[in-house]
Amino acid sequence: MGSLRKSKERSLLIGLVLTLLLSVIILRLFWVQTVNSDEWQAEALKNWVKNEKLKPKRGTIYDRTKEQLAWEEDAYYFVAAPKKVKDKKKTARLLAPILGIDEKVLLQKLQQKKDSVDLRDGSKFKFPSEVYDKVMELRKKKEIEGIYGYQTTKRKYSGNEAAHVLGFLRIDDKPAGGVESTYDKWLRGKEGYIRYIGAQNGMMITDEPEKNRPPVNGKDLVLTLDTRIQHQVELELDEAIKSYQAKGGTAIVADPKTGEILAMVSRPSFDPNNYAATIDDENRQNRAVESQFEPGSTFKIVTLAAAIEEGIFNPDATFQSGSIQVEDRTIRDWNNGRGWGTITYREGVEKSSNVAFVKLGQQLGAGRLVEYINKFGFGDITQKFGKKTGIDLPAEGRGYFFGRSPYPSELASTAFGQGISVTPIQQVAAVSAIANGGIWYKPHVMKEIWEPGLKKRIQTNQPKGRRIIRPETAKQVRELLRGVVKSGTGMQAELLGYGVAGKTGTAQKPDPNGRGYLEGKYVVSFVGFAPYDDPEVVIYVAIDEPSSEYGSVSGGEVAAPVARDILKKTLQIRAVQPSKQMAESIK
Amino acid sequence: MNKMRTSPDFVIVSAILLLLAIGVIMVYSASASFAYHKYGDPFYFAKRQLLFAALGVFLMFLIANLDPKKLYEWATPGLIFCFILLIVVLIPGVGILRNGARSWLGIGAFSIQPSEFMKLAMIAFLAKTFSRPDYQITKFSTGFLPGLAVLGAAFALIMLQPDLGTGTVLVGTGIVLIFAAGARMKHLFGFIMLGVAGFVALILAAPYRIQRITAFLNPWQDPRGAGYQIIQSLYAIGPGGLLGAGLGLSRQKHLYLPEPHTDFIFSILAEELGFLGAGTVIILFAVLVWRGLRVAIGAPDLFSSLVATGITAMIMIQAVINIGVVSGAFPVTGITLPFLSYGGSSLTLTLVAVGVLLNLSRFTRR
Repeated sequence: MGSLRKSKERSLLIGLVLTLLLSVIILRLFWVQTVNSDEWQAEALKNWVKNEKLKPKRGTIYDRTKEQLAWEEDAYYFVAAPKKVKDKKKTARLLAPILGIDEKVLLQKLQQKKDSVDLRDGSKFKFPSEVYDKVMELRKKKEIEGIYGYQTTKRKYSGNEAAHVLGFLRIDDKPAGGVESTYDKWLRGKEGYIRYIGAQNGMMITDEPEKNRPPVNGKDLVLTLDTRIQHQVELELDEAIKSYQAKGGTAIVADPKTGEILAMVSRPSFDPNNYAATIDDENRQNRAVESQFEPGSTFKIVTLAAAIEEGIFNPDATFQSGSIQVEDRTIRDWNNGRGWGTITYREGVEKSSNVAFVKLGQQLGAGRLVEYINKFGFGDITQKFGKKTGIDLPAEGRGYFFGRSPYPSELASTAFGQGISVTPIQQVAAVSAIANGGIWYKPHVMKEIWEPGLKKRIQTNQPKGRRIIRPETAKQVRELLRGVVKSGTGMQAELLGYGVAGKTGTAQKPDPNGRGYLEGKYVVSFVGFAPYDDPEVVIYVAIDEPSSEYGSVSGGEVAAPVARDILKKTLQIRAVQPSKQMAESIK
Repeated sequence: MNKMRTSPDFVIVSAILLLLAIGVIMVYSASASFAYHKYGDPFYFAKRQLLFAALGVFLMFLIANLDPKKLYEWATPGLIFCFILLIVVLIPGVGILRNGARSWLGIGAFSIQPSEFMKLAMIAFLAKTFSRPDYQITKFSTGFLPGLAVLGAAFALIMLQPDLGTGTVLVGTGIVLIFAAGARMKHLFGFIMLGVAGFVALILAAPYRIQRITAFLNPWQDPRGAGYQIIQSLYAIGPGGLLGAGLGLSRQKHLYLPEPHTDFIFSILAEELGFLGAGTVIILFAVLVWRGLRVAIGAPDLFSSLVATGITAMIMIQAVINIGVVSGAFPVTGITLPFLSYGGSSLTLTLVAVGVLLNLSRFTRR
């Protein structure tokens, strides 16, 4: 047995040592909690304070009838915490069919040595609620773990119509093309911000946030488009491109009285709901505003209007058709220079005689021709580039001109639409001015801007017009163009009872490798309006490189019937009554 | 043995009840949101803690009134029983694997840690052995070594689970007992040198332990890894300041500190109640040290004295290590804070040990 006394002495010693240890601890605590307290607090605050951006809801885009074209939809994205995913292979195998992402891609993501990895592949990032439900079910059944779903919103489009007018939102929420781009500032809204003390998982642990600035949602857009007309134009253009095996095409329907675009189609196209898989460099282009090509005969309208305005045009005067010599160049009528003998200028317009317009151009002279082309919104042809109409769509083309004073032969060809390049929208704006009695309006697709939820209108887009010719001149041009459809090259565009007027165009495509034109490659077009005495709509149709077994692929053969079919539906939708008198007069 | 029986030490009783009350409140505060999210009941852990505290206090008073001879009689069979349990717990399928260690026996809430029982059994057995009339602790091969061998065998079994925390407390308590029994300093010193070498070997055998050591020396070296817990603990204690953030207002309990109601309960207490609260708890422990050793010093015989010293040492070693760890003074190891941390079997067992201490306090010569 040990000594009891010695044992008790040693117990005392043990007590002293333990007390010493407790004293050291209490001193350490005192140090940490007083002297160093502020330092620890400052460090800890970095952990506790959560700053979060609050995403605003992007505005909805409507057509003029308040039909939704683009809107935000609830969507979910998924994040994996690879360290918490135990069976990575099984998780990848189960998730692959649900997310539609390749199993190998998923597995590779799950094997990353990170705290969190987004489960995305290309544009496959945001998923609908059905996918979320399926993933959560797997998680509930403990089939998978370490996979988290978060709510977000996804841009949704009513379909693939008006794709070029709308544009789309990229995966990073940046707009690409269309009004999504031009009105991004309005649509986007303002990001909000919240600052609060939170748990490690981000949950707020105080009653009130330290700072809270809620997001301001984006404004809604009401476009000038009419989905019913748009739908018809999409159908008709597709059909024409298919039956003529064309490379592409474009069609525009506009209200000449305001410059509002009622429909705008470009082919080839893409699907804004699935842009990543469908878009390419070719089909992203909105040909209606971006493509630039020789207008051909449709441009004769400008020369005609100038000649009438300047009092040069006498419809009953005659000239020798067939061909005309300008300097070293012989300009022929389109029927291989055969012409129609000595005819009136009225007939010259109806038959689309190049000779007639060369003569008119010569009588106008360089100065006046240049001036009127400029007035009609195409820009100064002595410059290298033309002028944008200023339509509210991105990447508008300007037209391509001479870059110097043109030679007389160039002026002559300009008078009937050769040697210069213009855009479809420039032609629509110019012809609208004829249709509405001489006022040039800036074409536009945005009609109104509204508070979110169409609560209150805050802006209306009504560009001021600019008078460029007298109403009488416009009226005379309309009557002459009525003749083109009634008994000239545009007869295929006639629509019983509506008095269609317009002009066809068949332009050879320039050889991109050099001077001259490509044999047998045309851009055929028709530009017109109806009813001719008080036009309600302007229509433009262009088909790129149509081909036909029967040989003839002129604007009159290919584009005019498309224009007619579109006009028929459009005038019905716009509630324009057919005139009995006009229906009679056609007989 | 002297049979002069008086009332038990009410200072110890008061200190224990106070610590238990603080413990239940802090377990509730630390676990409420976690419990609500996991079990839908914010009182899930607090209710259980209260239940086990009540059971423990009942057992404590029961034992305080038993005949102290019983402990002496049960010491050897108790130790053998605990050794059997420590072997059984290692059998896969019998012992329950939790957090990488096979330390538990039983089913669900009715599971126990044999290593906890071993601590008390070891104290009783060593005290009984060292107080045997023919036992000479000062002799190396017949006195010092046999005690150490029993201790070493228990430690080895616990390390097979593995549970470094409980193993450390057991060895620490055993050494204190050997020291208090009057072992020669040169034997003890030699053993401690050997122990340090063994400790180093153990650490080198399991790399996560070396990470804990380096993290303790410089937690910022890997603030998201091993140093994470120490830093998170200091993020609670430091901002607590002198007066604390207020009861229930800890921020670090919100998933920053892992299981804030068990190993890190003291950090949450220091954050919510400040240095005032934390200091009070430490002073209560200091009171326990002296009242416990008072029992040992006033004991009528060597057995009682050694048991009292052993129990006091066991509780205090655990408290010092736990608070040392959470305040960044010691390396991280999983040890709960006696009376305060959530945990059924360890709380009950600590109170049983206090019951023994109280029992002995009734025979103190004043």
